[in-house]
Amino acid sequence: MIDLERELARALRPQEAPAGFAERVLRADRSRRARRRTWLAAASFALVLLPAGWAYQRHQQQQRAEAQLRLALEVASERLNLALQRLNPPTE
Amino acid sequence: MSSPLSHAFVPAALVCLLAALPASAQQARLKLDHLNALAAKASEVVEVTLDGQALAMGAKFLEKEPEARALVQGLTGIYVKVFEFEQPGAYTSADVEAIRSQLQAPGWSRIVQVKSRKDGDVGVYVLSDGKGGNAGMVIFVAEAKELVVVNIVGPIDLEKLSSLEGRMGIPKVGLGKGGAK
Amino acid sequence: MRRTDPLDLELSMPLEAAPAEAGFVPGSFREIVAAHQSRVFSIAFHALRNRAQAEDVAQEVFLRLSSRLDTIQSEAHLVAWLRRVTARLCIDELRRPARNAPSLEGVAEPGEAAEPGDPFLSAHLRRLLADLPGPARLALILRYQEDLEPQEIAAVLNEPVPTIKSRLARGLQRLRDGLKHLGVEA
Repeated sequence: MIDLERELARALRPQEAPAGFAERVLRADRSRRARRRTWLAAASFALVLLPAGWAYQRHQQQQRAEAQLRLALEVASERLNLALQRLNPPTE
Repeated sequence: MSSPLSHAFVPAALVCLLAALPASAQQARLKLDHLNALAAKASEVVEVTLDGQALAMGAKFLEKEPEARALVQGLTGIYVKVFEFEQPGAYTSADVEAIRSQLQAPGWSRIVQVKSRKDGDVGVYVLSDGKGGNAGMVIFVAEAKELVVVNIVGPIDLEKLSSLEGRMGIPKVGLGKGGAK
Repeated sequence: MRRTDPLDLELSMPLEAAPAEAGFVPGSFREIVAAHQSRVFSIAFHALRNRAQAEDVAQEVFLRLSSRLDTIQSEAHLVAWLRRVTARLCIDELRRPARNAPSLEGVAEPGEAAEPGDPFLSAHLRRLLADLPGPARLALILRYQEDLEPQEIAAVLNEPVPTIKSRLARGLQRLRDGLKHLGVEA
């Protein structure tokens, strides 16, 4: 009759990890960290750039609207005055 | 009991009533799309389309020109088309008529018209708001080598508009021909 | 290996049972892997009976540890964390039908040091163990490889202590029955 618990402890004795296991883990860890860093960098870049891009686009829109309004008012004013002057040409 | 006179009066009264109705922004805005084809023939083109948000956005930045800012406060749109051509005859009478016909609609009245062989046609039109003011204006210039339409939608003070010339911080818009510049 | 582990949150929590050491500074990741690789791989290997799967699980355990090293409070906490995560990942792996195929890897590896006692009996026991349901198998591995008490196994597997005791008892009984078929009384 055997001592089952003792035999079981023997059967389940710790196994050596496969050769090179630790190196493979360290390599995988470096690779995963590098990937994470890349993602983090990309995410940070996007987080910084998106609002900046939006602000820049908005600024461009504002500048364009302002320039267009100035041009429109100048043309309107100039043309109105031209019409009025043709109607009442200045006496020499 | 109704008389024949009253029968005749009702449609006339309706016409008067319609004419007196406040002009809408839709009425004050001309349809100018047919002019877009002229851009290909023109040597110089100035096109400005400012409505709604763009107009409000532009007005916000006229800090140094409070008069201009106040002037555009109640406007809902400004549309400008300037075409300059190398040769006469680049646009057709149909192009001009398509604009003039819109300005013959009820509410529009011509306040300035100059016709000359040398300078072509210049007209300034305003749309009545039915309450003694205006709801928009059009400046229309049809010269041999130039076609200009300025369409302002919303109440505009012509005197103040006139005073803005040369004060908007941009050089003259190349409109010297035949003018008093 | 499946990465959408619903137990991730739980695995990230510290183990209350493991005492914290004031000023504990874990060794470098390299040192930790070197020191604990055998333990982690063995649990996975005995549970999964497949060296490749066991290596995958063991690697995943250490990769998860790498990102949580700063939460480890003591050596005991580290060992408890490794056991718990290894066990959970093994359970996860055992639930996957595709990779839970039978294997003949319960026998001794060629070139391994000779087993103490009867190597044939040990091999039989590992085969019988492999036929047990996953949770019972893990309970027995933690009891007889890691020498844990039922209370500690219950903490690792997040199960009630009576459930663990019952699994251990039934598991041992099935092993006895299996040995009996081979003419071995236990």
